[in-house]
Amino acid sequence: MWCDSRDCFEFPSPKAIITRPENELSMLQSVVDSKLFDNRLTVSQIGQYGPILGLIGLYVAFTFLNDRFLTVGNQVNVLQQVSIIGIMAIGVTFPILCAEIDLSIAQVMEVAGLTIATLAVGARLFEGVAVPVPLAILAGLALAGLFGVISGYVTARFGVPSFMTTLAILFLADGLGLIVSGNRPIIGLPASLTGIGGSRIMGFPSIVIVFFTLLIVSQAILSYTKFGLYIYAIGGDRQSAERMGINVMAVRMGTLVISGIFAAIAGLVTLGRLGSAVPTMGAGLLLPPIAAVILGGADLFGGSGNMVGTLIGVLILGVLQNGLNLIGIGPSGQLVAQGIVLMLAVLANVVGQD
Amino acid sequence: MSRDIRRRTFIRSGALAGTALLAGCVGNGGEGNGSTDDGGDGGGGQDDGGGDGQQTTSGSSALTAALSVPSLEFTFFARMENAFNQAKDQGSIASDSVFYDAGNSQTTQISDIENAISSEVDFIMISAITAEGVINAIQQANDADIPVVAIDRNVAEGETISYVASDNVQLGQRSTELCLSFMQDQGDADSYDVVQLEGTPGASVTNERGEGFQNAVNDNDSLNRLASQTGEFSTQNALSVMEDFITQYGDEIDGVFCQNDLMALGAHQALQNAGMSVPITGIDGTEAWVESFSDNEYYGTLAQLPEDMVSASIERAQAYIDGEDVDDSVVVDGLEVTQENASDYLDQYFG
Repeated sequence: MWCDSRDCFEFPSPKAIITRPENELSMLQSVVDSKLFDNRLTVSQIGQYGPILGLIGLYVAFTFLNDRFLTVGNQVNVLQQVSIIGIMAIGVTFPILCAEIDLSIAQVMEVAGLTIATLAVGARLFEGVAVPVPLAILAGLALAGLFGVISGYVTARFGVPSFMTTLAILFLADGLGLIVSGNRPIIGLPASLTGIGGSRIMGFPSIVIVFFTLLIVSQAILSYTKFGLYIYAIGGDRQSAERMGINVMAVRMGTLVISGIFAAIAGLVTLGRLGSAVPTMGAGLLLPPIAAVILGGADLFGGSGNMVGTLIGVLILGVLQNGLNLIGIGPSGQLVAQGIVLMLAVLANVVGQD
Repeated sequence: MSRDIRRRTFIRSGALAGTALLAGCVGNGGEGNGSTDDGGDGGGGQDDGGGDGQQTTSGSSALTAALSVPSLEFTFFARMENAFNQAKDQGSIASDSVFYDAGNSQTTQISDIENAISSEVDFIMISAITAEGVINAIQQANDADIPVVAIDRNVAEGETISYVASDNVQLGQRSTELCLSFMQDQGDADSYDVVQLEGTPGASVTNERGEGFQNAVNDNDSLNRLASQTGEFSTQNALSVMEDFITQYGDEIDGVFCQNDLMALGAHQALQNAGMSVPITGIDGTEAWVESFSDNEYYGTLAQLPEDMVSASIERAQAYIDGEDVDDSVVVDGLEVTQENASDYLDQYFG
């Protein structure tokens, strides 16, 4: 765990201090402090910076192995290639910090993207009812938010593990995606829609700008809002958090809604990146975002981690793939290399945390 | 306390079941990818079969058929259903012939076959979900002396009179050679460098289409394999891989061969972003890919035709029942689709 919870708690929102009753706040702080104290005593400095050292190591290695790796063009490519996984990873960081998991992100991303595309074009399920692009986008985001509300409510209200509720949403969203799209790619998307993820702003890909904007906003939510503070508190020890009077149900549900909406945004920018909507566009996108979050040093069982770590995790995955492609390693070799790097990276994390 | 324990047991078994389910769907995903030869695309196919060919049913000579497919989720099989219904309307099979959709469930497919056997159809056509899963059902059909034709996907054991399918090696080779002919049309050169986007590693389709590509490279001296990488049959992965190819090889790339059309869409996007224009060919005949041909002279694909598979299967079964010899395996050739015949192709199969 590098850049641990300290960053996130050193500057609590001033508003939070004013509005919280004194004793409640200090209880909260004490939970946080004890956790912090543990870390400060035991974290080995090297392990703490494992992910970033790993990333730097990859950069050094690939720079030596391939002369085109460290060019501006290729680095922009890498950022572009990790943006979709990155946006989903940011979204799923929220539930993971809260000791929940969202298994439905890939399918929610898919169904949201397909819904937006079909509505904007007026094809398939929505034959002849084309709506303006902003409305189509809103509908897609709302649908994804609704999935989050459903799984979040069932999880928080009835205590069904989010593993199961989001698994149910996975199937539900998958099926709806097939229905909405008729299981066929949708082409001829309006330029105003593909522009969000597929245009360049002063030569820089818009999809990367969306990614970094969301990253900054999310880190701000974690660092400077009560909601962010509560996520860590619940992820660290749900029972204590509940006794402190935190509305645990609302926060747990909120994290799943956020991850759903972020998945939908990923679906939206994918339309621009691909220039079309493909019914299988979510295939294989469940595990990489979750792996990136853990790679970045977050605790799979909640309570610690942050968005910068997630960014590092996403970059490790992206740089590895890009570099291996450039030096011409075949598919089987790539899998082997990915396995080794993942194992080393998570090992570094755990050593850092013990 | 006991309640607590029970709940915990429940949760634990729930989690176990969940993991199993999850594993199941991950597996399924792979399977789904593997079968993109079935086109993750394609026509919701208009059922206008009834409009044409009002041939009268020629008395009692038409045989009763059963056709079982894995899932109508794949447009490929939906097109099979349309072809089957059309055959029924035209009287080449009897009107009480039955179509079964197994909904991707192996047990459903087995009971479908059992139902077909008990309703005493004259022959069965089956596209097995897994080659091994249907062995028992095939055996039962054998015991009841009902001939079985394997269509698109083969079965592991049991007597089938014929296996009717595309030859993926041949599709790979023909598509690569189509790409070569585009490159030659685009400009004269001594040699042409082509990159390959492969499917999911280890899938039989990937291996076979890759073998076809390699055959084409070996057979044509002017054709060079510049690089080959997996795009996992996915548009998105193909896009990223193609970007990396462009970074590494740039203008050296003369052409792109993709093992399916969805990846061709991704390669097209990457090349377009880079301001490059080189020939791209795919396999399957996916609607969205063929639609892009109108702006691109040097794009092409080898379309698989499920309609032809159904009619070839019916023909073979009829011949077998009439006492003729039938080949063990029948290859249904892919249709070469380029800008020239793109609109005809779209009208005919996706109208």
